[in-house]
Amino acid sequence: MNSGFLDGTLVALALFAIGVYGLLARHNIIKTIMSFGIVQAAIILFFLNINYTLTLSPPIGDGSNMADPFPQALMITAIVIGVAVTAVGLTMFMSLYHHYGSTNWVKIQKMRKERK
Amino acid sequence: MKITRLIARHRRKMIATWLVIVFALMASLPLQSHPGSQELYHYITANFMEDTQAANAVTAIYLDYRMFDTLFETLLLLVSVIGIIYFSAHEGDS
Amino acid sequence: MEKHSKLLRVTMGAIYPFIIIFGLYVIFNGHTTPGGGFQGGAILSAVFIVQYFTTYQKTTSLQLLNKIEKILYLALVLVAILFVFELRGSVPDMFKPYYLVTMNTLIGIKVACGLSIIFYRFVLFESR
Repeated sequence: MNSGFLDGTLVALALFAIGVYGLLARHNIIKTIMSFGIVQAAIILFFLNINYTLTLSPPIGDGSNMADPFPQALMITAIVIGVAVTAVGLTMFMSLYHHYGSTNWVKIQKMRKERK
Repeated sequence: MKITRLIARHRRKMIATWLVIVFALMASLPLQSHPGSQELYHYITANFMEDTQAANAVTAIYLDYRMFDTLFETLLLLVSVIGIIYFSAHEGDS
Repeated sequence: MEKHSKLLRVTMGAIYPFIIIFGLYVIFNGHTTPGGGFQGGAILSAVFIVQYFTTYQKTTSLQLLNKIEKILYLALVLVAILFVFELRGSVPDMFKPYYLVTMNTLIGIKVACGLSIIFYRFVLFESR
């Protein structure tokens, strides 16, 4: 935190706000999935910035001045989970697109109500 | 009636303003780490070599201290692969 | 399906073994150097992408890959339960690196199978 010219925590918070804006304001399904990816990147950046300063060394060997290995170990699983979530979301979107032929949440919702 | 039309027209701008306010509030909060995390950090960096014989501390955590994390994460990848196969299976039939 | 260009096929065929060697290096040295099972598995899954670019015919069976993944997950759970939960504290230090290398290898091959299934599913079935 608070190291160098760009603060990683501030960048993570800004990315999080951008991702939530994409989730709230846009009606396109592809853009929703992309916003999920942006929010995931923000969360990963935020966790990697916990307890971090520029003078720390990587967590390998028995050095005394070691970066915190704990958020890194959590985030290595979060990255794989992000890949899985994106893949499942895209597959579901393709199935939906074959059925309804639209990429808009509101139009698909209307069509589903009409078909019921 | 007028207000709803106004909201519908300026929806994106209002959401953007609200998120800028939220970002400013989050950025102005004083962030500090929990004291328990320092304890954990000192324990792990002092003991992971003797406990697991791994030179890489990240490997020591995700293969020994936090085994459940790795197990359920790989289970999630397996389930998502099965889900991908069966989500798109019915497209070939129709 | 149209043919890929000859330039792409020849260069990808030359890169092919190096990707496998690099992925296996990252997996087997995961406990002493940066790397590990997840990263090495992601590198190894690039092998199937290269194979798709060079041969452009479907030679791998997705059912077989899925079965391999399930069996590897079962082995992963068994090894983890045996070493971490049953023999807690009674394993001599000599055997611990073997446990780490075994787990990293299992995780790596499992992640490689999963990511290549995702890639093949998107390329072969979703692109119609």
